Amino acid sequence: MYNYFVYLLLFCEGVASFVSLLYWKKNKGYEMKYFSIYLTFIFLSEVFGHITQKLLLNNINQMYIDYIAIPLEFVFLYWFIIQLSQYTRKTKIFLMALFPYLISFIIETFFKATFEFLNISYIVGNLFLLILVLKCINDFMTSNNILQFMYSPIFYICIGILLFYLGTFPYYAIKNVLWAEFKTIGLKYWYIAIVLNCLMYCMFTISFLCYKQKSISP
Amino acid sequence: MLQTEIYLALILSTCIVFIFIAGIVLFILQYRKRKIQYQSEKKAMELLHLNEMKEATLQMQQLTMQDIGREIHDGVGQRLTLASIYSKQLLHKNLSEENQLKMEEISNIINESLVQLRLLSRELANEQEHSIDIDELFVVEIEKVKALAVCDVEFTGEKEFFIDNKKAMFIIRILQEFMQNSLKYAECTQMFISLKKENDCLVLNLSDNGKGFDLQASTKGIGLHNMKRRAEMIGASMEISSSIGLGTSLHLQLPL
Repeated sequence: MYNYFVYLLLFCEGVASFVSLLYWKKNKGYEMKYFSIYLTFIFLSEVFGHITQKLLLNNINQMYIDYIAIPLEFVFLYWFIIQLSQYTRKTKIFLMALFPYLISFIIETFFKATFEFLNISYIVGNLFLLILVLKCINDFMTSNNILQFMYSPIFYICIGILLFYLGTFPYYAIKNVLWAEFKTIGLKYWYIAIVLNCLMYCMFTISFLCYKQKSISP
Repeated sequence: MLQTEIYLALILSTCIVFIFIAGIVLFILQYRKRKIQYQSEKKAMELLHLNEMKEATLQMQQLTMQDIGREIHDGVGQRLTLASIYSKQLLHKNLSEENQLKMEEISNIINESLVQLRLLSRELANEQEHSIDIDELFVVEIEKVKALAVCDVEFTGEKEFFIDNKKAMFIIRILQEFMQNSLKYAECTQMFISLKKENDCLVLNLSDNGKGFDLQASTKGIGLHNMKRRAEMIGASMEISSSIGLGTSLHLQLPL
């Protein structure tokens, strides 16, 4: 059962990456091209993770996830969501969102013992990401883009990010506690997290498929 | 410590569920609101377009009829006048009585034709209507802008304010240009229009509460150039003033 969910997630990530590369030439905006690169990076990271797990190099895998994959994920998503929104000072907003995350990341790295049961950097990163996504959705809803939301990539991308990052916020915030003290609940919530993760990548895939040139572009 | 985290997770989960539900409801409400707004804007634009098409058609018809009237007067009228002169000359020649009577009849027919032709020509060229009520024309233009529901327009005019047809048209074009610029570029919410007669002059004041512009930088704008040209053509003096953040105003004075 566990493996089925893992392979399902890998499949969804693969499909999202493949479709994004397929629509590479059709995408006029450079943001969507960088998004394709991001999806491919995520898929390759997952494959790397599986290989290291098979080779019983769990420590390397965990270090890669904690210090490379997740930070890069947040940095890219901040930049991407800010590009999709209607901010005038995009660089300033990006730095304002990135700075607290970096501080929390550094604090967590050097004071790991103090924050054994709470993923502080993930909580902070997630919080700022959700604020940016909600602002992006607000801009989307108050513009004329909402009339053609079925053909707008912004809609699907924001919904996908909300589903996963908001839906799994409690889980990843106290993941260590759940797995240490309440393994059954932790496992059940893990299944939910995987399903939400798959839904996110499905939304990303749809964002490329449903994008029409005539609609308002991101 | 453990209990705190469990409570934190429960509170977060509850908040997340509420956020999702609220988000869905908000999205639906916003979508419906935007759709209704879009449809009303579309209807207003279609109505405006239809009215402009009608106006353009009427103007074209009027111009065509005026051309025909002029052609009749200049072309056919001249020839008939010439024929009338020749027929009168012939009357003084030594013609037989029978021919004399016939020539008189021909001369009368030609003169009657000339009179009827002149009447027809005058009707087509619309020469009787030299003046037009400019206040009514202003009201029509302002109603068009109000129908867009983008900007509020306050108008103070003078009822039955008749001026020359041609000058009225030029002033209307200046008004249309100003209102179009205010809506398109100034992003204004209010426009103030005042039309009055002062010391045998037509005084027109237009202003908006938009974002204004740098006059020095915009001296090459086609719209502004057209307005100035029209004012000069009818012998009116025109001043435009604008400051960034303080709106734009236009003052026009036309001696009557």
